[in-house]
Amino acid sequence: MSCGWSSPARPRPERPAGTHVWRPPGPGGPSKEDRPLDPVTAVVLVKPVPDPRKSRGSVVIDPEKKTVRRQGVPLALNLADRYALEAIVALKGRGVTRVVALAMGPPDAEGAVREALALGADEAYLLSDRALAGSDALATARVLAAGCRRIGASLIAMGAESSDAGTGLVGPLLAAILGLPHVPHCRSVFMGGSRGDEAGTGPLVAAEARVDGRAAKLTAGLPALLTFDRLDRPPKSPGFAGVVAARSKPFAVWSAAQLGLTAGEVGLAGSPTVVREVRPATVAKRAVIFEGDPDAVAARVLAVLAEKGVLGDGR
Amino acid sequence: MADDIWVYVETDHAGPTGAALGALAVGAAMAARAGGKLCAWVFGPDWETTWKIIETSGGPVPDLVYHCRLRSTAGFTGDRGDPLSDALLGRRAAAAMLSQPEVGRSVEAVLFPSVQMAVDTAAGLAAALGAGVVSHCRAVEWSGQEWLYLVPAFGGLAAIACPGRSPALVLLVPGATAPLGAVRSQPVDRPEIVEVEPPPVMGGGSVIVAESEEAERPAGGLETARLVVAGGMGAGDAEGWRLIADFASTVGAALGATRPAVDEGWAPAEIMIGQSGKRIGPVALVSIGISGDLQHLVGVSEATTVIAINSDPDAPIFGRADYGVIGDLRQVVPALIRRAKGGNG
Repeated sequence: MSCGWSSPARPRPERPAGTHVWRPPGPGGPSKEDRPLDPVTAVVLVKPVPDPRKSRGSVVIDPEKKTVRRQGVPLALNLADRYALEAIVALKGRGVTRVVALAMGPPDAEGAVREALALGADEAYLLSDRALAGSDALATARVLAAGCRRIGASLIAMGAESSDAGTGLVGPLLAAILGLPHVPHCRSVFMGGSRGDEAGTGPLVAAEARVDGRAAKLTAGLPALLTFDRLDRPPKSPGFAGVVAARSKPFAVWSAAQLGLTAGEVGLAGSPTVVREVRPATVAKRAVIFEGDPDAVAARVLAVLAEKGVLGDGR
Repeated sequence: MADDIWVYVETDHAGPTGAALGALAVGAAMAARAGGKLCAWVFGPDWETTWKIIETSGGPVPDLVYHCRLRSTAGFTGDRGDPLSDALLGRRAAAAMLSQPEVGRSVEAVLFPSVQMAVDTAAGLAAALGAGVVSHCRAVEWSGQEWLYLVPAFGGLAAIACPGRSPALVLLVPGATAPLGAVRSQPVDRPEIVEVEPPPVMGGGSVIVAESEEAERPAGGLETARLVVAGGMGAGDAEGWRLIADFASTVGAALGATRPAVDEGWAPAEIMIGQSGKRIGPVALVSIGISGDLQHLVGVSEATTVIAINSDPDAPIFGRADYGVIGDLRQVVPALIRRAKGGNG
């Protein structure tokens, strides 16, 4: 029994393995001749998250909406997003013409978003609207998709995961909504021109990535979406010159209506998942507490390790 | 009535992965509770290999199998046989699932193992259906009215429901637990097989794997260590962190860190333990300055004996620990190092 793919049986030209069709971003698209490459606008999605340095990693939950409270807590840019921003800013003049930072969050996220300007973004936009509050991963991806369309992004980059919610879903969902290839878990990225095969004559992005336990070199034709892992070094800090330059760069707040989003698509109403309750981490058992001066408790801790037979091996 | 459970069966060269078999077991229990069918979506080279593994695993036999042959199809990137090339075909696979008319009508949930291929597949389905996606799910529960998917979030455990009419798309972590109380009798000896052709092409181009290789694992790594010393935000600063690291090297332990410690730049991301980091299973874990939120505890759930050192007596880590020391690590850890060097080790 076979239930085949339902599209009409149109014969498709066979292509050699390892190639794909590149769809040009503009109408008509570049020809195979030496036409100059289209300018590439890169959008880096930066998420304002509770600042781990100021909130000590604790997250405040709205008791009614059961969502993370971002209003009134110190906010910072999600760390993985900063690596994405750094990588894309480094491509300016090397294939990327314009870098736009895009965030969604409460109005007081402006400071965090402006940090993206100090870190080298040319423009920054904050999608902020009460109607967006309570958006789950899918609703968030819809909002960001609308923002990316408005900007006209042909390269989208963001962290693979955020430090607060950490679902790792927004990037893949955004790629799916926009119909873009998703290059996951990038660690470094390069831009290149045509590969000279059917991968296209336009810009290509190549990345070193770590996917499902494998180290890989991945490429995709633009438009494409890249998600970045956190790296082992601290992210770059904005320099003084960057902070000064940021003051004269364009920044604006966009509402849901300006993005053409309807109430049913976003916020709690547009979110197919609902948090029914948040249970505290369960106290499954109670630890035996060692008391006494540091020397005494140290002796007891080491006695437990000795008893388990783990001291002295694995060196 | 939406009662059927679909399971996305991920395969590698040897057949279905352990994570996929685990997802099948969760799906079987859900289907039994709801009185629906268990349908497996198998994306891989051939069905017979997969079937042998399902049969010998002693796990549940699906009622129905949709088999979608991913390799050796002209014109797509998986032809090279590179495991990652196959793994990046998620969007294509999602379209094959989507083409089935049952989706959104009789499917209660689609279960996936938490691997990148499955995440992209789930995302493709979610975008097309407007369906909810739940990632990092560690348990499934029946509330009496609806299914709840439990995920570590906000330092606790969030119970997430997908009340809409679209199926819930659920990414299960390895070892995710099935709902209790529903035992499924083996209704069939062999499933009915439906061959599904992969769709000819997906919009938006695709990702090409230029090359891929097994990522290096540091020898004597964190995941296999018998003794782990892990530190967290309680270290306070780089100086405090150095104490923890010194103690680890003194007793020959592998060093681990929580996400905040990595965020602070004290520890490299490679040694992060938790939901999005490493999962460890040492004989003994010494947890220092770690409050013990759920994202972290997920990573240490396999540790046999846990000793926690923390200045906050109400820290959740003491609910996970077998032994506890309530005190300042700046006093306790130097004492530990002194004693360990003094021959007690």
